[in-house]
Amino acid sequence: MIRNDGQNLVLSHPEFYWALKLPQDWVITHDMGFEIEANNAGETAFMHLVSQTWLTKDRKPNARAYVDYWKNSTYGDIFPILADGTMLSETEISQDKFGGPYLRYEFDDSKKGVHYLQVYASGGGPNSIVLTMWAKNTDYPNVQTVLEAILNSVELVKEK
Amino acid sequence: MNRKQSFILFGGAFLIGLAFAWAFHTPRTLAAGQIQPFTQIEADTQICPLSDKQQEDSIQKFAEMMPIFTHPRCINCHGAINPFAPNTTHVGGRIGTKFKEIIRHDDVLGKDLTIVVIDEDEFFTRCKDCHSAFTGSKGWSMPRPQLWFIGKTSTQLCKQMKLNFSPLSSFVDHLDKDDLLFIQEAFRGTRGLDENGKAAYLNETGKEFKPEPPPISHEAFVAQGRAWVEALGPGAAENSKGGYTCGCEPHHYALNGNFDMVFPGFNQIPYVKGQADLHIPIQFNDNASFSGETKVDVNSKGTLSSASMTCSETWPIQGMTWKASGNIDDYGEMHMTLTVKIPPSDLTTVCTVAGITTTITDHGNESGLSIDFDGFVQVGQTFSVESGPFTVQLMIVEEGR
Repeated sequence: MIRNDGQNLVLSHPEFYWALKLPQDWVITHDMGFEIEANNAGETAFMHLVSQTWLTKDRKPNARAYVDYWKNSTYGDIFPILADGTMLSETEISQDKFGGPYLRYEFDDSKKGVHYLQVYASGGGPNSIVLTMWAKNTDYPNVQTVLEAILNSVELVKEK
Repeated sequence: MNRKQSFILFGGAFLIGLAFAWAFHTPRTLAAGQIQPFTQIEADTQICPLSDKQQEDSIQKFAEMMPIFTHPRCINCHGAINPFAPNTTHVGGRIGTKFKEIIRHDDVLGKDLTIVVIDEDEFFTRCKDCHSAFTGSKGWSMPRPQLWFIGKTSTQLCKQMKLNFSPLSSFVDHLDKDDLLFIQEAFRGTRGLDENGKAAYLNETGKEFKPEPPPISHEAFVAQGRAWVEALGPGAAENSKGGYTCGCEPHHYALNGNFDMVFPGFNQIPYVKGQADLHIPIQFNDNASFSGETKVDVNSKGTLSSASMTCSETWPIQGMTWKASGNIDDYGEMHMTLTVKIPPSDLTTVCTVAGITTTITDHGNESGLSIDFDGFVQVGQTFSVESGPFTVQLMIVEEGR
């Protein structure tokens, strides 16, 4: 579901239990419901959201458990999923949101010259989400504020 | 009847009772029905029925396979290179993650759910971009981390193989004819690289690709695996033989415990009693049979009173021999005979009848009995056997641990 509130595109999906806001000039390039990709009009900033849904027995109670899932996956440690490089920071954010706190990461892929921001969220419900955003190092200072705004807007939607 | 005649009659009755108890005992084992069935737990509690030489040889034989296990053609897929991990050293770079929806039954909710998972097909289809010369009909896959070799010692890898291959003939079969054909591919050394893969290799490394197989032939590697299994002795190929550490690290055992012996007197009333601790180091032979023995001293004594007389008895036994012998069969069941030998020892009876004390010393001959035990026994688990005057509590323990 996409709604324009005059300032942002408000995106949500009731079956995959996520919501976030994108600036109006962003273009959605891929939408599967559980997975959405978008970038800004200038194609200098990118985002990728995945909502992973679980069998009841596999649900992850919090963001840390979801991160650990990737660190101990069937294929070994493949954290960070969908991002690369050296981890610059790990921070707890969004304590007040459903399923919070979420875990925010920053990665620097010096080989490709790309800066990543990521958020992992899980609240013991039917899904967990990972939001990945990136920009080239040269573009990052110009788009950092927008990326942070998207990052702060993402949230898990409570199962009804 | 005078006092002396009374004492002799009483003493005679006691000795007959004692002889009766000795002669008509029925060996009875308590453990078989009480022992929990084996379940795999973190610690290896199965008895490893290998001789010292078999243990030494098997550990050595497994170590001889390590240059192959740690060769890039084997270890790269077994954990050294993870093409799905960030910052991978995979020459072809990181293989990115895709997701897809699948339907799975949720046992808790009792209905089918659509769930989102990693797209494994996409994961491994990407391998073929460079590695399409691989001939495995099921295509590429990657062993799960529990099967990785990276960072593991010979002992750890040996345990891993024992945990994953039972009977051990399946280990040799796997080395010889890997269903997925990865091992066969490894010994060709080509990495399954196609022309595109070789070009990517050249592009990334600046070197022409040349096959780099392990330093020995596939047949020689299979022979090494077979030699390890054979070093574990008879039955290893058909079974796993011992627990997951057996044949990977040394084990030495002892039977620890204690016994009570009770000899009844007149009218089967418990009379002479003795007890002692047991520590019987046991040694396995190549055919999984074992033996061990120890000697203990027992100071047995007893007192019996009646209205007309009081008797006390002392029976110090120096060097009572306890010998354990038996085997662990192919199914892991222990069959053991405990042989007890009591050396000639003086049994002194002091009886007081109507104020008159009489002392009789009986110079006993050597005597003994055997107690059989059959049951599944785990290391650290107490089991009991009873026979005649003896009640024995035993436990197999690791020596030197």
